[in-house]
Amino acid sequence: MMTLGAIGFLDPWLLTGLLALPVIWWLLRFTPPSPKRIVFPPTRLLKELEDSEQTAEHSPWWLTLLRMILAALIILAMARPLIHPDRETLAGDGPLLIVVDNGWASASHWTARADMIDSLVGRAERDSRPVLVVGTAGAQTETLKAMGPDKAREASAGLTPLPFAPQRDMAAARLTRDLKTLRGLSVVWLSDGVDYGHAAQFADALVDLAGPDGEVSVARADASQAPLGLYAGIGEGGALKALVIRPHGGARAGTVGALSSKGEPLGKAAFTLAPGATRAQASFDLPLEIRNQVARLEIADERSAGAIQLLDRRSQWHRVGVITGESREFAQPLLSPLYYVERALAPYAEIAASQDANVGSAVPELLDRNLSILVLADIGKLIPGTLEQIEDWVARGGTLIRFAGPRLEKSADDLLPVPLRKGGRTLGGSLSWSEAQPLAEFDEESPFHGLVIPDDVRVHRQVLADPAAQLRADVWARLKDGTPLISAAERGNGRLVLFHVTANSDWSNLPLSGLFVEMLRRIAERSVMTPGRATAAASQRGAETESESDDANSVFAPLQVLDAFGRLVAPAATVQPLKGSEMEKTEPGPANPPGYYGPAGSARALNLIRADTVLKPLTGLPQQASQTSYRIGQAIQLKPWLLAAALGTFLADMIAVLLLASGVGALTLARRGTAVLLAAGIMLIAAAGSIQAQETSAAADKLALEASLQTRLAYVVTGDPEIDATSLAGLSGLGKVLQARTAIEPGAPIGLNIDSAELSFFPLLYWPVRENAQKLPDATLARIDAYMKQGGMILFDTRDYQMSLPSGGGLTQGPGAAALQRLLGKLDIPPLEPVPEKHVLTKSFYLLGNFPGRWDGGTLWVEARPETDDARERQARRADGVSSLLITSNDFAAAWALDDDNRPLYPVVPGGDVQREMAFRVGINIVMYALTGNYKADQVHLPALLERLGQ
Amino acid sequence: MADPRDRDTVSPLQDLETRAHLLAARVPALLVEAQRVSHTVTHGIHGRRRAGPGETFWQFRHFENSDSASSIDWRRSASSDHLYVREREWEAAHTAWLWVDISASMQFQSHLSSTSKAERAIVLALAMGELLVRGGERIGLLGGRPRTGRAAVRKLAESISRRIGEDNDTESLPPAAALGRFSECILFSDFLEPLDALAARLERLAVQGVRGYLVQILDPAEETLPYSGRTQFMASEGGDQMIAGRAETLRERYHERLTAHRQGLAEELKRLEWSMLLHHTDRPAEEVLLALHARLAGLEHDYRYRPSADKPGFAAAAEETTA
Repeated sequence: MMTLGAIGFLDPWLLTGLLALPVIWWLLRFTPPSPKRIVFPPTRLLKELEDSEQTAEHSPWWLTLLRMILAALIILAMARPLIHPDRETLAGDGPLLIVVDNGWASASHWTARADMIDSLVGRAERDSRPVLVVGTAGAQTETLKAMGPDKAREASAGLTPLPFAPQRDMAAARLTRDLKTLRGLSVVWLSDGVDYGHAAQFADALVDLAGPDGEVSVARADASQAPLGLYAGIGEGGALKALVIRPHGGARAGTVGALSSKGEPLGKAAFTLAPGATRAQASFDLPLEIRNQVARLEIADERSAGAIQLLDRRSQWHRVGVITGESREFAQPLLSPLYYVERALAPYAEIAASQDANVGSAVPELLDRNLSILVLADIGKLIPGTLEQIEDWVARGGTLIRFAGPRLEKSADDLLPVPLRKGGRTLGGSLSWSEAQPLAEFDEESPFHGLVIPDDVRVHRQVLADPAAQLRADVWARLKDGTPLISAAERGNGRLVLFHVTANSDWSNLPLSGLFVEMLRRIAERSVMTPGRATAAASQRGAETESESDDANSVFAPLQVLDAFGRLVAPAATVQPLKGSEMEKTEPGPANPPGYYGPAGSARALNLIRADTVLKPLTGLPQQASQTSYRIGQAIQLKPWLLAAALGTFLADMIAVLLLASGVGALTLARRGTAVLLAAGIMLIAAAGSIQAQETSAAADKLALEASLQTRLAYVVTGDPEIDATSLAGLSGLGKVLQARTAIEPGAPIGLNIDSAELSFFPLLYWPVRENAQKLPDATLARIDAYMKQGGMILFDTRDYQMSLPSGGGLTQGPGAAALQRLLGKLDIPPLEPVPEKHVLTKSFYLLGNFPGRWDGGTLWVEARPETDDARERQARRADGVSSLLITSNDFAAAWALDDDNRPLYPVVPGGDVQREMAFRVGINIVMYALTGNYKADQVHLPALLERLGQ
Repeated sequence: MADPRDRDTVSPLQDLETRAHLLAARVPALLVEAQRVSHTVTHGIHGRRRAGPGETFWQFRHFENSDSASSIDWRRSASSDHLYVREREWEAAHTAWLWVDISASMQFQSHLSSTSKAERAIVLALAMGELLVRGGERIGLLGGRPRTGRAAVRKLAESISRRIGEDNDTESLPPAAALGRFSECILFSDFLEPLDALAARLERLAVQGVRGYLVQILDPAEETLPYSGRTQFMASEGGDQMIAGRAETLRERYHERLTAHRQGLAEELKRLEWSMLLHHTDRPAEEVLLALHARLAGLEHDYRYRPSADKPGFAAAAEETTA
């Protein structure tokens, strides 16, 4: 091992190869690249010139240099260089003391610590010095002993982070006690960067320990690896808030994940720590129902117990007690005042109803159950003992919601936000001028601000606050005329809320509205006291009620505890149970690691980070202590990089030699450039192609919209402009006639490209057949087949009656028919027949005997009616008994074609208005047939049906 | 199947012949300027635009005493008081000897040109022969037998192909054939042989009273030496070779050397009163064919620009190519 600054060589003797470089240089210099060979007739002339250029030309200097670099790179790579090997030597000559902060804050980057320990032990091993490895967290009882490197490695492998803060004071005491006698100690403190209160003293102790001969160095995590702590709480509006804290560091961002008790992710919230900031908030926007399922929050990618906040049921549920003065809820639940309240609260609160009809006994019973909200519906005067109990509870933080009612109207106690006037106010009654009042917009101060008031909420009766005393209370909701509808007042830590209407629909329809649910939700979110906190507040104040002391005195056995990496594990035997009353005060430590304590189902969470936790950065270290980071000792092998560079140089050399030898001139380069440009152009074209594809799909969407927003007749574009124009004019002419005479109001006809267009939008497809039509591709045939089988109808028009031989009836006569054969030869065409007598086509709108178009005399062919009943049934089921195919040779479109002034474009043959009229009637019948199917055929059964109905 | 050589050489030659036909079709038939009046020339079919032995009527002139009585045209004389003699146009054919260098050096084709020198030379020779034959002249391969008529060009092509076949007869110098006086001699080659040998051979031809035209066919690469870097040049014949370290440095001096060579050749030709045309294979063949046509037909005394007298033997068309 030879070192050269930060670079060391594992096989330094190979570096002697560098001495050979000058020789290589000389050799390379005089070994020119092989020349291009060119047959050149006037070489003789050239040869006569040859005088000064007699010697072989040298390689270009840059080529030689390139090869020199190549050789040097290979030699260097063979010497196996390492960059930044841990070349530091340890000060002092005594043992190496490695002090590790193995608290929760080290967990996230524990591997860096472990590597560091390993590297330090390795260094000590080279220097043949004994090693001590000490963790600052955990029990500090064992006597420390210096050991050999192997033992030290074992010991350090056994050193794991612990899920609580290190107790540096205890560690310092232990170190001072056990290592007083050692001299020349080299102390390395692998800190976690957090000052838990004794950092400076601890560092001083280490400096003392090292003495004048020794050395203390403190390793600190980079700012980017500073530990993060997470606290979660209920923020404004009941949202789940996560608070990320850290001792120091630069800008950092991340996410906090919310997980259910089963570990399912429920939500994510991003946080951003500004440079230097030590706190950042992340807010979860979760529905309350989901929020209630959140069992833990954790910072993504931070694997430490501090980056996890366990939630228990305290932070989730409100327990609401409901008491009514009426007893009719059992008889008529829908009229019960509590029915709506319970329904409104059910999604996010636990309802505690008293079975006892006696308010006097029901209230204490409910209050014992750690309520956060108590709802009293129409209870006028509370009996004295109960009143005090409730008052006390409210003063501790309870929220009392009261609803008015006939009883409250008559006489009220003073546990109300406002004194009430005797007697209520009735609006909109039969003897009153006033009308039932809607709600006014909520004030900005109101907790209901922002809720949408339904228009139909009306209040027609309410209790009125004494106007003289109104200032004492907040008015959360008012009627349009300004009278308070919901008033509230703080009492102690708690709050009184009064709805000036009943909780049922007697006085207003407010409880029926969604607004009511939202109002109660907001009130519940504002309730300061959750069941758990109630006890805490109570215990702090020392005013323990029986129920609270019950909770506080009960002992919670550990259920699950977190390890330092934030995993929930079964508690070790050393974990102590916790008293309920101590829950809030306990600092997690060896005896009580963070985790769940208590019975399963209602366990309490003990967290490392609390609302008031501040992570202080490690400062005030003594001058004697040098500071390092965790990034040392990582030797980087340079060999692969050097070899890669050598390979690159070799490739460059090869290219250069090729260029030199083949004489790649500017011309060739230009040609290659052209090729590259061409390739780029092709790629561009391909990209343009994909753009075109996108445009095509947009066009398809447009077509779909156009075709489906209106019923449209469609024709197949043949490619012959004249035929297509005739088809368009014909179908639009037919459309005009349809519009004038029938209920069908078709849109403008659409020409379809049969190969690509979507056919399924069109009930009828007019297909003029060109004489020179070619065979269709199989894909198109398949689409046509599918179209016909799914109920579409195609009207083929061979337009060749005039040209065809009068050979009586067969299909294959004229050129158009032959073309049709070519077109559809492979198609699964059903058997055809000329339109039989009494076919639906003859009577779908007009009664028709024949089907003339521009020509008169061509036969209209339809699908033959199946012979057997069974087949008929099948056809009927498939296409409603409607022929999917009509074939004519009469050139319908030309007969239907009208110009803008509705004058026909083509003469009909043999002629006459009667024939044109009949042609239009044929068109109407065909469209009707296509749209209504066998409806007209069923008309024959009408008399029978009527007769049956008559019976 | 015939000798594979036939496949390789003759059929491309037929192709060349076709191309020569096409080329000749674009040039008017060539009448070799009759500068030398001689009775030694064979009677041919094209007139010399003067009275002399021939078959076609040329003019009537008054009888002179030196004329024989039998030369009087009595029919013409009977219509007037004078005696007239019917003169016929002098019809005579020149003999043009063609020679094409098809040695290995002529097979050279650089990346700058689309054809080899030999190919171009053959095309030019055949086209020239075609033109001459159409003008009624007799043509023959230097050292062969002259012929006239339509078959002459074909025979010429055949003898060239035979020469290609005979490997031994691919000399770079024109053969020292015995030629008749007052015939034309058209040589197609690159004329890159040493000047002395070349001059000696040309002189042997010229002393026979032959008028000569040299068409020097060069590849553009031979003119410009468009190579750079380390290059090994190998002569196509003779086995000369040299390695140039940086070919681009030779370019200027090579050009000077080539010009000097040409200059020397031109001096020699000036002495022989022969002329020379320069043609590069990257130029169209018509160019030099037209120049040669004009030179042979004696049309060079026309309105067109001619190079100054200090560069004898270089036609304007050829001058353009010496860039």
